[in-house]
Amino acid sequence: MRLYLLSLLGDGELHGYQIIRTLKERVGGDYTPSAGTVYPRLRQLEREGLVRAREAAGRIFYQLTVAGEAALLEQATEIQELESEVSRIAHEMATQLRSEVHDSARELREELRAQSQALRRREAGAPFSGELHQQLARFTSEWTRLVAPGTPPAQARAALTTAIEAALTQLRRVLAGPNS
Amino acid sequence: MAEWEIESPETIQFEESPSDLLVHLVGGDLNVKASDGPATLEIRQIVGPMVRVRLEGGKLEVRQEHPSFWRTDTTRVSASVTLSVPPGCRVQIDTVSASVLAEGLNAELALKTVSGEATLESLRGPVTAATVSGAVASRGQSGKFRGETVSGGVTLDAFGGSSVRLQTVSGEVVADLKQADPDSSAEVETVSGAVYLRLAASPSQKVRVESISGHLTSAFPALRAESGPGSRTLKGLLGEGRGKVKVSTVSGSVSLLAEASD
Repeated sequence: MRLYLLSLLGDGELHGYQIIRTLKERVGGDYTPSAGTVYPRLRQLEREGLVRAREAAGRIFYQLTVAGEAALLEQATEIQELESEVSRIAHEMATQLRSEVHDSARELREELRAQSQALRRREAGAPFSGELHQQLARFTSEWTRLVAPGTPPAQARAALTTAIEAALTQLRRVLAGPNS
Repeated sequence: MAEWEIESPETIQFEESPSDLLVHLVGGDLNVKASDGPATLEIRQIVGPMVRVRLEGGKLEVRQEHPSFWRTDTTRVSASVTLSVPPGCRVQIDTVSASVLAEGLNAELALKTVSGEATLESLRGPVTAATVSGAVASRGQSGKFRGETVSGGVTLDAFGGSSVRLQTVSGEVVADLKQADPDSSAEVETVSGAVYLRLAASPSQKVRVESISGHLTSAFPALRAESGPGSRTLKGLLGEGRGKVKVSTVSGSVSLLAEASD
């Protein structure tokens, strides 16, 4: 409150009622400084030699003394330093928040990419298991043994062709999956 | 009506509370955060032309623009700006390369940047973000999100809102939708950008994923894969199908993942 009164008077002298009204406007809301709060403080500032009171036209005008102006300047510098420190901290916090959100985003990306790759490996792995390869090898050698001695008769040939086509179609369907 | 022309670092506390904020910057960085205290503007650094600030009828405008019509060399016009506004303030941001952080806002945010990186934290209102190459990372968002980029990646972390619409050309899309509303809809379109969506462990969505040549991967056996001439699809119903997931790419791979239960 002291500093505020000093700063209000920094622009020029004011009388009591003006001071109260300006305080109310600056602070806003429901705040209404009472004469009982403001005048005693003005008198205290007067006693400290920072403010001078003069009477004119039935009113009391308050103004800063040279000492009062110096006090205001000194405190103003302190306030400015405090403000730049606060702003430096606020900026650092914003920078930290940015890194945090982006780090979190990067972790999410890596996690989902890894999950996707694991799923893909499982899909791709299935048809090429060793067991199926073995069965295919057994089938080929049995087939070679059966067919080798001579050309099968026409009926047998037709039946064999149908069986092979059916097996291939089934194989294609099984291996196609979601991605062919 | 109040106006300021700022040429050096300064902090302003506004007497009037803004209901709308418009920020127009070229380079540098911008932080906009929601706060219950008085609205403030703080400029830590200015390179180039002065920053003009104007507050009238609840509309606050902060601008730093190129001095000439022919815009070249964005490094010579930049400002480091932090704004505190009421949570219900509507915000519109336009930058060329300035990065943007927006936090805690409850009302609309419309963000446009060419190459600035966008970081969004705990936003509750509807958000539209459009970038060319800037990456967008949004965490803890509720409300609707609409994002468009050309090559910037879009990452939605802990998204708890009701709708997501994303469009990219080559930008990668990564979205964790497990906390989204059960009725929420997610629509994603890319050309070559890969898409990774994580759904809830017990999802409830109508799903339709299609791609011309991109690889489709899904952790959900209930979805049916189909391959036709010139395209492949993955579709079906998860749970009660209350929400919607629709993804379409040309060559971008698509992965629909479940919450890790291992």
